[in-house]
Amino acid sequence: MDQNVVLKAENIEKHFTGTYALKGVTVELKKGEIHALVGENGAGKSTLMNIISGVFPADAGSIYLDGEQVHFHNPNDAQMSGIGFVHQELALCQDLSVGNNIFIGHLPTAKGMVDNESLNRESRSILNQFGESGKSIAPEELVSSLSVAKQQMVEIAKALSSDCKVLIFDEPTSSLNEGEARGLFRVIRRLADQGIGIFYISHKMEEIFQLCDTITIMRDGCKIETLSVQDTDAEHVVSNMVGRELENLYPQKSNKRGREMLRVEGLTRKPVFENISFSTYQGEILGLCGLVGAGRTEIARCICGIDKRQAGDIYVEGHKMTISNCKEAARAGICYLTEDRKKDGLFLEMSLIENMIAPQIDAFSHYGLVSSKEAELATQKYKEMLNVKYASPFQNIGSLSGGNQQKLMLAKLLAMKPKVLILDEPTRGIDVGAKAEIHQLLRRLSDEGISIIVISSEMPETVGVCDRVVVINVGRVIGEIAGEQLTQEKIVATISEFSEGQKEESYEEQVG
Amino acid sequence: MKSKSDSKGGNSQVSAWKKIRSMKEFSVLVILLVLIVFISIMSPAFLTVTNLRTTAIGFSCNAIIAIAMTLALVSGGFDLSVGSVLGLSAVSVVVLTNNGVSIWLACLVGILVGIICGGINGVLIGYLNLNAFITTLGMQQMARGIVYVLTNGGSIGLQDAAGVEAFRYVGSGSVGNIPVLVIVCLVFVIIGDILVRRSGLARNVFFVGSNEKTAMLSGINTRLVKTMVYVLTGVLSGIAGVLTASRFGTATSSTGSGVEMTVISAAVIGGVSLAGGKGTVAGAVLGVVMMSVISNILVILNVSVHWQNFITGAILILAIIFDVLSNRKKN
Repeated sequence: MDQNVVLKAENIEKHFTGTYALKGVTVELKKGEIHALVGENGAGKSTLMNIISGVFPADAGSIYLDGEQVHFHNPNDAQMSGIGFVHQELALCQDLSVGNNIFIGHLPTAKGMVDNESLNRESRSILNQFGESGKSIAPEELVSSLSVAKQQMVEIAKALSSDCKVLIFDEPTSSLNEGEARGLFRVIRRLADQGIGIFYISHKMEEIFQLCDTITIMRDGCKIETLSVQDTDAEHVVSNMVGRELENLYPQKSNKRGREMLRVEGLTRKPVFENISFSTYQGEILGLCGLVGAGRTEIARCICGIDKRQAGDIYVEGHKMTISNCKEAARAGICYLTEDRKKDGLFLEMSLIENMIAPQIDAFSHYGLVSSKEAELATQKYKEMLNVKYASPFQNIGSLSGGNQQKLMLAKLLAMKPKVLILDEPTRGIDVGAKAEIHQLLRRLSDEGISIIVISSEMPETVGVCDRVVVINVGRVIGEIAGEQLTQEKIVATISEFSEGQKEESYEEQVG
Repeated sequence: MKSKSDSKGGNSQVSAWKKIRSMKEFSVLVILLVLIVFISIMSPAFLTVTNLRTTAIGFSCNAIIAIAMTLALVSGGFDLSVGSVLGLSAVSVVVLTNNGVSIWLACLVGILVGIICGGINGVLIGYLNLNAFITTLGMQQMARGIVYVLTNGGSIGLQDAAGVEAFRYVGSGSVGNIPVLVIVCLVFVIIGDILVRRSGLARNVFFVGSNEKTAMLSGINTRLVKTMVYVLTGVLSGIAGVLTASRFGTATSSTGSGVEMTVISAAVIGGVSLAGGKGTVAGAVLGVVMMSVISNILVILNVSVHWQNFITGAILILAIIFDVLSNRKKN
């Protein structure tokens, strides 16, 4: 076997209650290689990684680490042999210190007592490997006091705490802003330079082409191909992932502009944002764009009455609305799709129907009793309209894939017959196919007369879906871009011009 | 160079002081001291040797149980059966001794009763994944039921036999002015606090309580950890039962009833999180001490016994409100 190969998974097979999750997949990971795994949800990437990291056993096939066959009974076995897994959902003990989290499962002890000194010292030296982003984390700090990006560093440190040879990242940037993601990429490259082999699961083509050396494409439990990043492009990868040519990733844009639907004037909630004004029109998809932390989500929450506003007026179809909570917003016709589906969007332990009626129980009840018949009909209607795949309307919504959950969350809002839909990260964590479907759907809804506002931290999505964008930076509207002008470059330029201006301003202030 | 290291030392002193001040134990301690100063001014009856002795003896058994309850709460559960198990252990000691079993053997049986009850709780909660509330509530009823059967609903006195006098010395004797029971309690609390803070086994309980799935994925045997937590509450309840029998020389059908609520309330007041993952033995024990000082104050001030429940409950709710508000401020 090649000396450079640190890990080889050969002919891995896995069934889940009757269906094939993996049909004989073989992958090789070289030392110091950053190896992207791409594929739609359900393609088998996560299953393969879970098998490699000992979460569950394979039905057939073998895994070789440094040329020797290994059998892992649990994730701890795998970690102790040098396979670390940084999960998408951070799995840390929030109430404990950074050091304790890094060494969970193998704390340094002397005579049964935890040796705090060496715990903190070792943690320090692991964190120092990450450069600046690691140095700012103290081993004694409680994890709950850290930002998400720093918590992710702790998660990586945890994987490195036992002599690490292979490190698996599952969509690590899904909750990071661009600056934080760049910091993470630097850390990943540094680890690869040390000879650690890295598997990188992601839906974001850009970051894969920016970061990775090799790409393995998976579809329906099979490996389609493994190729070098230099020899391919995003189009080829995406079309191989979905198994068909995606001619147009984004739907046709529209240039017709109907009457004004929503007007926001002077909306203020200090210190997050102030004096925000913009309008939306029928038949148009508006984007609120800006860096993560610019205040987009906060503005949306404020329009919908979730957070209190300090000043400003909201008009729907020209009428001034008093909106002080989300129920009043819904009555005014404004609905908000949350960015965090699991935490704020759905009752994961409850059925599709129950989720459907949750926001408007009254609409589905007669004399105070809920009619599940009507709810079933409504669910059925949106199933067809949004192409949702599920077995029964009575199954738990948590058992569906991310894409289907996202569609149902949207259906729940559509059932409320909104005039204005504000969608926060409408395609977060769902695969390329479902993404395209949701984009098509947004265009259709917009054509039907619903005014749509999209907030997305994926710049290509904002540019691809929206007809016009309002650019927000540090809580202010700093520009508006529409039509031909609407490109990623233009948005970035608008934001950086503004930031430059601000710097000069503060410089002048200092000088003056 | 020297000045640099000096300033660093100063900084770490400041941050250590800050750390101490931010600890929950500290605020409980301050409130406790304020209460003590207040009652000492109000009445000379508080700061007397007799009163302090009675109060300390009164909370000793609860304090021992609080050690284990801290871990149960940290693990994300709790144990409602501790009071009944305490009662059952005390009754077992008295009944066995009266029936001719050696007093020391009877004590072992009392502790064994705790291990068995705790073991059953632990296996049901840890391995069968039953809800801790229901399981320990059931155990509370079962243990109390046996207590009623054994005592016939009344009380049984410990009859004189070989070793009984020595046995009674533990619960009611003194070294100088300090009751032996209080010394025993202090030894337990100090060892318990150190172990919970520092030992690797206890740290695993924190991991489990903070994030069970992560703990499991990290190779911690979460089931065993949870089981052992309830075995520990059982053992310490058993020991507290033996000490109670030693203290009173009798066991009644109501021995130990209500202890679970006192101890859980005290732990929460002392900063142990009901959500798991957070807490110290020192905090929980300070909570126990505070609760019993408060009821002592009520007695001294001649407040009707009937009002005491009300006030204890109100203090518990105030403690939680205070906790929530201070957390909100931090965020």
